[in-house]
Amino acid sequence: MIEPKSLTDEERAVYEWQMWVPEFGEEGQEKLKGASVLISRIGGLGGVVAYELAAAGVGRLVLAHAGDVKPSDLNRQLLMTHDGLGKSRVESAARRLRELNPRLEVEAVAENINEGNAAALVGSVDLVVDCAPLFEERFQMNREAKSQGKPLVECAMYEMEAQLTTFLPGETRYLHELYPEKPEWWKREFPVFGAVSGAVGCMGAMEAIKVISGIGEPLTGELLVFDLGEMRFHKMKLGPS
Amino acid sequence: MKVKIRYCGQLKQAAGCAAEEVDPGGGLSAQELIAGAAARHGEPLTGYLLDESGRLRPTVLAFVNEEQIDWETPRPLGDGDELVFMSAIAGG
Repeated sequence: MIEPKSLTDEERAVYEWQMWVPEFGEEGQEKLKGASVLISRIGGLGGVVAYELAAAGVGRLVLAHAGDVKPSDLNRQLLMTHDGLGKSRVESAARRLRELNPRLEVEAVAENINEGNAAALVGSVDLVVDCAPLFEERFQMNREAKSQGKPLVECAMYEMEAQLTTFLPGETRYLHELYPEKPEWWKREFPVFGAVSGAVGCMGAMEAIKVISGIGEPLTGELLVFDLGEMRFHKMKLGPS
Repeated sequence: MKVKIRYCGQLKQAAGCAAEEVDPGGGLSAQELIAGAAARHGEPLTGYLLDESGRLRPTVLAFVNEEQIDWETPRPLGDGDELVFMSAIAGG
């Protein structure tokens, strides 16, 4: 249960435009301020999710991502910079987010999700956004989110295509139930444009905002599939079992 | 009878096309059409779609007219139906 936090006058000024959205208002903004979100990882997808949630006024973000910035990150990982090459990804991301929103509480964890840290990281937040490239991490996070009763927004991409859905405890299956096995042919590095990761990242952030504030209709029991090569968008209905 | 098949994710490259239209004749189920698509394209699509016993792999979702189908329940096809295969993809 998210405990709403009252806003300061500065926050009312910053979030004025989105508080004009019908149904959302100051009540929705107070819920965002009281919310915490885990994002794993903060690359092409997760970096955009984190940036949008920081801009929207989510109170606390937990960022999990190991390693340093590489040249091949820079086509899509918008929280990384050329100056940051060779430096910690998660520290670079935390710095950029604080520049955008100095009121944001950021916890930078320089680790990817694994068996040893998943329970504690998922347990420390209200909602999880899964942007990880490996199915081992994704399944670990999904199992924890399900067992701890946490909602999880699932974002994925490949070439010019993307998939997005939202899992809710007691209402939907989670990723490890939708795909009971990891695809053996999947590799950590794959073809994709930054504009594709950015598009699905923005949509994933909007799903998180909807679930936290209780507005709109999250993608539960449905998989949004889109192909920016053909600008084709479909909502696929997922089976019950 | 015409049925459209669309391949998403890594299946598109494995099939060598994003979509195709086939005429399976009357009375075929979606499950039989999947087996037919695998046989027509051969490897690597067959290995991506089907396991050793010829069942749909658990890493692939199949939909008819935007609704997921259950492999165990034969799904009859009609003229103009669209069958979509989708492989699991991730982030990065």
